[in-house]
Amino acid sequence: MTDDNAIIAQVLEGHTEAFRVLVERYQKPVLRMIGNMVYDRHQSEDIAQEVFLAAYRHLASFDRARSRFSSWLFTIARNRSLNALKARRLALADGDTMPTAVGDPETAAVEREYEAALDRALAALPQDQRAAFVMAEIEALSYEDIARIEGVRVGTVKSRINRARQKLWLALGSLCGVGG
Amino acid sequence: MKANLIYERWLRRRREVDVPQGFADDVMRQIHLVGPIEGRAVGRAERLLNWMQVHPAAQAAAVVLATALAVVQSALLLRIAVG
Repeated sequence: MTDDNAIIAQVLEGHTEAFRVLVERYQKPVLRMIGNMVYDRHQSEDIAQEVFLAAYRHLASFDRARSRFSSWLFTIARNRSLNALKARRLALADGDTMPTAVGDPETAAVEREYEAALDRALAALPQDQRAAFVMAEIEALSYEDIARIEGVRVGTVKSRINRARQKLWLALGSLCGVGG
Repeated sequence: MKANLIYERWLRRRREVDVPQGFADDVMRQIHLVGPIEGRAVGRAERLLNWMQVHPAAQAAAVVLATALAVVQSALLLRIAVG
């Protein structure tokens, strides 16, 4: 697999099409992260396109000595997602809650209810906690990478993630009858 | 029903992602409209050198600084040699 920096060098030499490799390499994590931040599939796709376009336009300013390309891209995705959230009050889209495939319809309905509660709890988290939680638990980024992206200390990242987890467990506990 | 199972299943679902068909093509279409970009990825040291090359005052300052450091170094060495 070609190194990101080698591809960036090609793009900056005028080989525009080389950027496709980066789009194909990172489209999944970028779409997933934005999707978990804004909870709207169509808007996520639009924002993801904007993220790649912004990354392309500003590629010459990317400093490989300061961060990995993936962290830089996630920073753009995070900022664009937060801008989109600021632009509208977040309302959880009904169609975004996917059904759970299990045999018993009654159990499936209960599980859907639990998962919907977790979806609502995630959507209701403060933006800094949600961003940290999504990057850690869903994107599996390291605390150090998240701290770099968020521009805060690692301790702050850990505390945001812990608070987010506590709130999610509280939401689940209120339905399942278990403590936070 | 175990809460941790529900939580894990929910996390798995949130990790699922559908990439819309033709997403990369759509992005690349817009990128081709922008056209080739100019520039070159450079490291911090190279950035500083490039900046110094286009700022004569910075070059002069660097020469003065290097000379001062050399003088201090020579003085120290002389002091060590003399005892």
